Amino acid sequence: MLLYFLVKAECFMKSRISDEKIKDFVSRYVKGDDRCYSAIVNMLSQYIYNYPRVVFGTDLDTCSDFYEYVLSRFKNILNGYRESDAKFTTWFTIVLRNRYLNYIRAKNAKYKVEQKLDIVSFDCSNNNSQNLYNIIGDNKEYMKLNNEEYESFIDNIIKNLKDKQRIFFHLYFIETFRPEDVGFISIYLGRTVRESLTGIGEIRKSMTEKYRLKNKLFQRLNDLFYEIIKKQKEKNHQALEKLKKKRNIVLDEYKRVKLNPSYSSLSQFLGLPIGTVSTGIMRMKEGVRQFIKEHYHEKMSLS
Amino acid sequence: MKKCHYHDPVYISFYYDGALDEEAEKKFSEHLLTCKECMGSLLNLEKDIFFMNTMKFEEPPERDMSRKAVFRLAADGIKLLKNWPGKSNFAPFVMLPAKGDEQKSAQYRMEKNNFIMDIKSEGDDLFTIELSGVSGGKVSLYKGSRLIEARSNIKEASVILYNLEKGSYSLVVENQDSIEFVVE
Repeated sequence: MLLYFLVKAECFMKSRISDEKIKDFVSRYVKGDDRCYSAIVNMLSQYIYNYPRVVFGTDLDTCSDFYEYVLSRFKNILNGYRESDAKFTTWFTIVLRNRYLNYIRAKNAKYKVEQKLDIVSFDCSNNNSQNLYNIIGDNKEYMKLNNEEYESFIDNIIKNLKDKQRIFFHLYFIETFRPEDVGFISIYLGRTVRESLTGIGEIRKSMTEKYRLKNKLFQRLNDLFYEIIKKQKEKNHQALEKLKKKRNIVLDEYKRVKLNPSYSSLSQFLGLPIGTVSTGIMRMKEGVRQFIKEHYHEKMSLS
Repeated sequence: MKKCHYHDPVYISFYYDGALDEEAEKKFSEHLLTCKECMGSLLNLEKDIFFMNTMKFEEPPERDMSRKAVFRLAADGIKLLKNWPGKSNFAPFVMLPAKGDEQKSAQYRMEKNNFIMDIKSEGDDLFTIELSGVSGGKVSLYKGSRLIEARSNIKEASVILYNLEKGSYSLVVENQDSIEFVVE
């Protein structure tokens, strides 16, 4: 009981998980100390509950559902853990993603609803489609792209860029990174994949506040979306119009937050002077603009 | 499509945190350049960890930690002391005696979506669990944290688990439904 309260108190004080402590609890639990089970659940409860909201931008009802889904399989999940120098949360985060995708598949099969599974973050998902303006910071919604179209769109852009410009493209429009692009930058820069991923992580960290703001606005858009649905059902047209206006204001604000890293963080990652980075980005943008104009007959003001 | 043998949460987490030995790391690094699946997992992992480390968390709802049915083994059979909350909980199930037979001791039954679980006393402080409707499926039984029985690709119409002693149990069916109960 004391163990339970100690862990509970710690969770309130600090929302993230101590690797040493969780490994100790899991190891004791696997060896048969049942008292550790509720302590582990308490340590990980916030992490599990918030995963769908933070990573996939879902509402809190889905979070509660997923939370129950995971906890009802939790003993089997813990059974699959192998102690090592790797962090417990690293392993657990991969497991959570796999479980979340299973949960969505099961839910879709149950309700026979088609949903895209491969939308990966709040920044790339809006009404289940990927929007160009969200990805490369444009201020106009040119077209809605499904995943195949998005892949081919990015492929066409990068085919048109020189290798060095392609590096700037992915790093500057960091949300465009796909698995093959990480391979490309690793080979080009002569780094291991892990070094490249660490670098991408560092660049992302330099934009933490922008990500937080974007996430917050996305949650507000989500809430407004559900309120709009509710008012539509109630046929309350006056309230509906007000909500739609509010949603447009938040959407504009959401679009204005650009997830482009600073030149200094890119300069640090690439080991190049800021001036070289700035010129490289300018040339890359010019190339992309030209491509969009020629192939999509649109003018594009890139952030 | 053949699944990549490296594509496993344990291996990917080892690589991500640099816990592989030099040779394994080198081999996996080379593999990553040709495997979209593993590289995709690593890229997702980098992003997921970033979000999970930087975004504000909401407090999860209070969960009923006492979501366990409690039984007591007595000389005259098994008795339900505390039921599992919700609709699909345990209910008494009495087998009608054949002509001339004695009334059989009570057992309890829980009916879930796809299967039925019966629990009954065996005498001598032991009890039995019978699961019906699990054909082709997978069942794991934990006593406390210890996995004491695991069956997969079940061929029979029902599975009977005998000689179970008093303790706290979790029964997981198809990695989906978890039934928690205590036998005192």
